[in-house]
Amino acid sequence: MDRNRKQRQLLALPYVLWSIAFTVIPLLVIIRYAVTDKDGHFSVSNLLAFSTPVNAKAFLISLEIALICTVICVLLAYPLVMVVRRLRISRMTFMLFFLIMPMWMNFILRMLALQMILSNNGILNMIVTGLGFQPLALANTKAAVIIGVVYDYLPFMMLPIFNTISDIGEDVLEAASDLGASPLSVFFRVILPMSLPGLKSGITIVFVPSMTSFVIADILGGGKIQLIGNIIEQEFTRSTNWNLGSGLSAALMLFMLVGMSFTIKDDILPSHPVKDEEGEKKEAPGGEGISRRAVL
Amino acid sequence: MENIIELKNVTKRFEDDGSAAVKDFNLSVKRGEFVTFLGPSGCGKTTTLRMIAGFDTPTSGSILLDGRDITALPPNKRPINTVFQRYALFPHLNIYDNIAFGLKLKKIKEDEIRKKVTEVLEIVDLAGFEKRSTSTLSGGQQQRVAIARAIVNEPEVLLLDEPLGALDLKLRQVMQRELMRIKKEVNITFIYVTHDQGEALTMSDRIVVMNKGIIQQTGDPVSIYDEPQNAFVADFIGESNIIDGIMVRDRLVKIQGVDVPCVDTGFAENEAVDVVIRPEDLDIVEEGAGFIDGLVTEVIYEGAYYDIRVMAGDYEWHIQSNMSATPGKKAGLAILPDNIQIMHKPRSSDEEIIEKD
Amino acid sequence: MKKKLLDLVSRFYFIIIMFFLYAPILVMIVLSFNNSRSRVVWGGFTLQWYKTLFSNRQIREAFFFTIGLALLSAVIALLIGTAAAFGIHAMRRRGYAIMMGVTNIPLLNADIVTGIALMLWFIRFLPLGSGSVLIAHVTFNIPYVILALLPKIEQMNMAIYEASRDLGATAVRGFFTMILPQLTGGLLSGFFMAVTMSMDDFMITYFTRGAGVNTLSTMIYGEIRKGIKPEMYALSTVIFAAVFLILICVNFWPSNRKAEKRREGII
Repeated sequence: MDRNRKQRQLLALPYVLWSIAFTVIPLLVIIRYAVTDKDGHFSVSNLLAFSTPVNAKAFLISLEIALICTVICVLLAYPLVMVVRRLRISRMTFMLFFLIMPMWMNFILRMLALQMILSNNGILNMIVTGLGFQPLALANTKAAVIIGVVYDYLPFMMLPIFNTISDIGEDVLEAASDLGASPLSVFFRVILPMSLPGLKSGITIVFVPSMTSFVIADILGGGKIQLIGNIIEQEFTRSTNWNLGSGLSAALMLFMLVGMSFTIKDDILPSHPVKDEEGEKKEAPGGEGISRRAVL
Repeated sequence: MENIIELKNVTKRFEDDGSAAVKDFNLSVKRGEFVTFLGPSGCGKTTTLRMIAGFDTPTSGSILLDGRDITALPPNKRPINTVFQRYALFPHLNIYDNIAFGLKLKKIKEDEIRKKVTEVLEIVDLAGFEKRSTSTLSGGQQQRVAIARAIVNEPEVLLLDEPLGALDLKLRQVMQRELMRIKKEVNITFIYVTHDQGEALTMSDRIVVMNKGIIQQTGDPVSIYDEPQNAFVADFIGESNIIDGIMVRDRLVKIQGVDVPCVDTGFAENEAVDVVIRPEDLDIVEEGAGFIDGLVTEVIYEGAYYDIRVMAGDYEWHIQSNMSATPGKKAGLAILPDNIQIMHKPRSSDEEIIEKD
Repeated sequence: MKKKLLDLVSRFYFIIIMFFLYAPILVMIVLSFNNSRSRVVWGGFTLQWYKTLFSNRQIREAFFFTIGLALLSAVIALLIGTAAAFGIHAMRRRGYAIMMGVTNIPLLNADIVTGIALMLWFIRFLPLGSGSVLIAHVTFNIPYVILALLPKIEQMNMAIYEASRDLGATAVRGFFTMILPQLTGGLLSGFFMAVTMSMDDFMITYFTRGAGVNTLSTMIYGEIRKGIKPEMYALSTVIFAAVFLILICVNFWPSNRKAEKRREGII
């Protein structure tokens, strides 16, 4: 039994080597760049580069946009997931068609299309003025960037929440209403708390990347909105101060690690099946497997 | 005793194909009664229960609670609680919070809740389990929590949807006794759904046998077992030999061409009937000493009795007897007139006997 | 009555979000039939961009590179990831947690950081080019395969594998006849996610590609200022439509629909 298990563990060896070579080491390399200056001497100045006015401004705008986008994604995702559950649209159809399908139209083209829709004499304003309202001045604004980021990341918020919520048995919800919970209480007392692992994954996947989407900021912000992603990109493609770019990237990694410590500690560890001495698994009913599927 | 639940002409059709899950169902349940809906899967028993709980609404007919029409009331506004087959505990809450769920929604004071939860945990024999997580409990313990979570709200009626279905045989028997004890302690009306006739016979005051959405027979366990009103009930409750017969006249029935005395009256002369004989009522006797002879095909020792099959004509009789027989030899079958049940043939296909598996 | 209203509101909300997600795609499809090189002027209906789809050598090369990259990286990720999922499944608590942590890094890290980190590492031993892009894509694709497979492996019925061994099947035969069929769904969705993510990626390719290596994404990005070739709209529309049709066939194939209905069946 134990020898068998050891043998099976060996199957992960190629992946272990691969992830050391191409996930772990690259991160160490970036950290090395981050804590040295151009001549290779130790320096924390790159990490502190956040405090320069330009970077600090970009950082604050990025944080603001990321925060707003994350909140909007959550607010859009929950009702949608509930609607999908209510209308009994089946899992695969929903996932593949509705959320994944847009990714098959080229990302940059979609952003360009969004730009056309939002531009001052674009499609949206044709509709708005057609309805007799004042045209919206969305082009090259923070709002346009936010719409773009929400557009890009909404599926990544929705999928994990959808997965945790579709794992909730119908009888558990019936039990809640049977015990006197109104539909609203069922949501806040059962569905929301039970979907927290998915929500956490969603936030972690959406928040940090949405600070860095320099392409979206370029296309929809018209170069007027500088995200931290734009600054990093410029450090590598134009100013070629790789150490500074790495310093800013390392700071972003810090955010990722904070996010991961949430998801991993609260979520992946406890919901991992408890294995006893024999190595047999005791599955925790309901909670089992949520986190590992949360991303997909 | 007054009626607490009344179902009047309740019919439920499925939205997709319009087929009826429950047809023109009429039943009154008295306060404090233990009523069991018994039938094979798909017979409409769970649908009926779900309509009483409020999860499904009848297509027509009405449901009354204490004389008040609750047909359109959502489940959260009914003083009725349910114990689910798969427990349906809230995995994100510990035992205490699971049980306190209903009380908290009623905005009951915290110390009052604490008192009630402690009491009810005592009743279900789980004192001290408050802080445990649901995933650390065994199936039987989870079912106790599910029961506690329901009865702590002191509902007018407790609905139990095959609550022991997921437990193993031994635990099921323990829980049957537990349920009867709890029923006595809390004195709540129980409506219980099961496909297990043993469970129904053991626990119920009254059994409602259902098939294809129609009530086949209602009565106390003894009358259901001893006097099944049709072949379906006879076959579903316990094991039976069901064979075609012809009622020659009162108290005489022709089975496989042999006239056998019985005690039933009131049938038309030469009416085709179903004859029901319980295997334990048949005796193995010497060849020629019984009402019919046959070839012993199989003898299995079951501990308390021998399970014997005897082929007579084109029918294989099923006998449970403490006398053994020899396979391959001829033997006779004997029966007391008292133990023969005569039934009218089913009039419609709805009453038709279905394969029990 | 109330239920009907709620259903109506639900449907309305669903359609609104659907419209939000698909409006830009519609715009692109319309543009692919636009007889004008400008994005903002409608010059009448034409099919010429579809006719000249592959006349441009650069577009042709980028297209085949993108598709080849997506398929190859997904296949490699599928091989490494499937083995890894079995290995991780056999691990105990600590090893399992570490491996899941590492698996989550490419998913949770900002793409720009992943891309830059790989680039900084590659330049030490590997010329940036198609090879470096392939390695990068495999790296971010493996986690999708693992995450799609692990739950399936956990739900898997090992008894039938053991039964087949008991009846005389070799370990290899048992694996291919008993275990693999149970994982088909997970393998397919892992592979599909990997191909999708590879096709959709811009950021990581942007940083790890060398001069002259282009996927459709990086090529379009480079064209933004000088103006996008309308053939790009046509090509993207063709890709989108092809995948759309394939998915419709896979999902709505009669046998699948039946299985789905059975799963949703009233209990």
